[in-house]
Amino acid sequence: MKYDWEEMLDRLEEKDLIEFLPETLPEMDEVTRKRIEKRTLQKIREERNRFSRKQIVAVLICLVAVLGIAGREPIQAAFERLFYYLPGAGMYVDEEGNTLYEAEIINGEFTENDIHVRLKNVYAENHTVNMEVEMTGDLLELTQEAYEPDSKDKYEQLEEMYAVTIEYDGKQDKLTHGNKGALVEDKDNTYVITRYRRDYQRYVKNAEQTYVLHIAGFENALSFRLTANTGKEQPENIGASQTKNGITVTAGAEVTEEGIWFEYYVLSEEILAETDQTHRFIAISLPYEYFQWNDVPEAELYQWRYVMNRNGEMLYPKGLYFHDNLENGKRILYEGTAEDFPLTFYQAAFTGVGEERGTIEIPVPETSEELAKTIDFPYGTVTLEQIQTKPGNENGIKELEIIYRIQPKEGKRKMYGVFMQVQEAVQKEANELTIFPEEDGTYHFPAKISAETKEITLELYDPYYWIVDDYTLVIEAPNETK
Amino acid sequence: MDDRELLQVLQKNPENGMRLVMKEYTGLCYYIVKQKLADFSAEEIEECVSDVFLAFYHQYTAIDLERGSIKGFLAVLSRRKAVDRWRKLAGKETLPLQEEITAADTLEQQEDRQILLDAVRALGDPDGKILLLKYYFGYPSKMIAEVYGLQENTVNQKIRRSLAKVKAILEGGVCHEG
Repeated sequence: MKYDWEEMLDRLEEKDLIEFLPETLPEMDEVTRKRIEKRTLQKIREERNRFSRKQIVAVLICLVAVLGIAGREPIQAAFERLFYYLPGAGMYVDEEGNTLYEAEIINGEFTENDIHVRLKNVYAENHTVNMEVEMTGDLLELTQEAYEPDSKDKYEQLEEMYAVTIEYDGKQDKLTHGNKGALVEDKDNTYVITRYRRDYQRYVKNAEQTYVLHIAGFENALSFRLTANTGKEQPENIGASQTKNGITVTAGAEVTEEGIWFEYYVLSEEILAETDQTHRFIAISLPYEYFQWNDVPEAELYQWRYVMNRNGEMLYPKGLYFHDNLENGKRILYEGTAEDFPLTFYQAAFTGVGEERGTIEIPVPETSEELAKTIDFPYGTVTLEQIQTKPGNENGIKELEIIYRIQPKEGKRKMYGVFMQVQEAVQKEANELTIFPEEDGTYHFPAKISAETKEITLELYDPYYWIVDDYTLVIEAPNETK
Repeated sequence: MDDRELLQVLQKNPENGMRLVMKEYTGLCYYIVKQKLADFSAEEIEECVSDVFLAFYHQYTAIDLERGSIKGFLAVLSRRKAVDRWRKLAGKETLPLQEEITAADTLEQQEDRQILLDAVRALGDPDGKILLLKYYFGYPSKMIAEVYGLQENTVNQKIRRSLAKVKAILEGGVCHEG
């Protein structure tokens, strides 16, 4: 029998390799490694955006700076005016007098044919009912072609198999989903969709009634009733709450058969990288005073944000399936029971993202030129020190690098990064790149321009900064204040 | 940070966990993929490595530390993704590897793998490991030489001789030392 050596190697499995795994891992150049890392994080971000629930209205509470030092009462007044809490949907700020409806879940989940179906995030605003249906189990086995991320086939197949109809007001209609997401797993070398979630919106004349959702192929149905939510809340009524520097962190928890459903919200007049949908992946926030991701000690990762039980033991989430990102917070299922209370939630310094922009014109030198130009931001100053160029290649593309430093200002907010873009760049790939400083403290921003370009316009935007305060909230008991 | 701690960080904060995994293992995955896609551009190789980590992000909950490791899991994932991409780039899409394995991981193929492993083990230590470092993990000879404290040309000699022996065994021949 003739053996193909290469093909036989291709077929080796993990257990075959155990004794041959290299102890010394190969090193590679840092630029390529970072490029791969960035590309992968972008893919993950795109995927997670597909998973993300319909964005709840961004929380923008117009607290004037003086409120932060004027005590609790003015802050509470602001909440009374603006702030709603919709169970299962999160925090909601209504500045225009809309009518909000919260859901009383009648049948929120069932398991049939080894597939678990769950209704999530149900609420209505005026005449629009919002809901999300999530299914987990072996939902669909994929061919290689259908596995490709851009394949439309898998969603068409899923929709055909698991079409949803809504029943209310004595009529029944098929629903068309908005955002959707599917999780594919490799099960014994077969790609299987194991999670499928869809967001729905339905315009109704009268929101306050009972709804039933039927899913093709299932005898069981999901159902809920909507009632107007008149209860404007204060953070203290949601759970434990703490306000520092104009940022309110609120956390609550409930115990279910699955474990501890813990939720936290961050209300801020600033954009925070950790809770803002857009910046969650783009601005790589770092623990306070660590300028390099690689420098962050392991312990610091655990201590950045955590939930601890009464014995001081850290709780761990039950997995990705039970991790809902909100625009302004998260809902996470932890392993645990009522015995774990009181819980302690700790959040270290947040990263704020500014909306300021600045531009500066820079002549393109032959090789290198000192710049000594400064751009001032509210929480730090960027000093452009040098511009360097390499000769153009055969395609007429020239590489340049701008070397700069960031000097944070005194105060609770300390700038440690800024996004940049060269308007004349032939590839604006650095647009979403978080730059970390070199060992000497300088940042190096790369760009590619046409060899013909004589002057560039450098745009600096979205400066980000630490807000140097941490938060410790104690949740005495489940559902204590709800 | 050991594998268990790394998986805990992944569970606790997937983004941070992925950064740590990529920091540690990009080199390993890159060389495995590069070995298979040596005839294609650097962009294809990088894209494939990125796909490896995306697949890892989807599948890391399946890692069983009692039976394996993140390193082993990523190594196999890298090789398979590279083979998939190689087939696609070389216009050989008629029989995707994943389907092929699923459909035909027969007793005969298990036996084939065993024959290969026996052949590699028969080379002894470190020659068997060096051969797989070269042809599975894609380590350049210079890097292998550094790992084992050998001259680069000694490593190349070992590899040539080991490969000939393994192929002889796989063809049904008898391996003679010397």
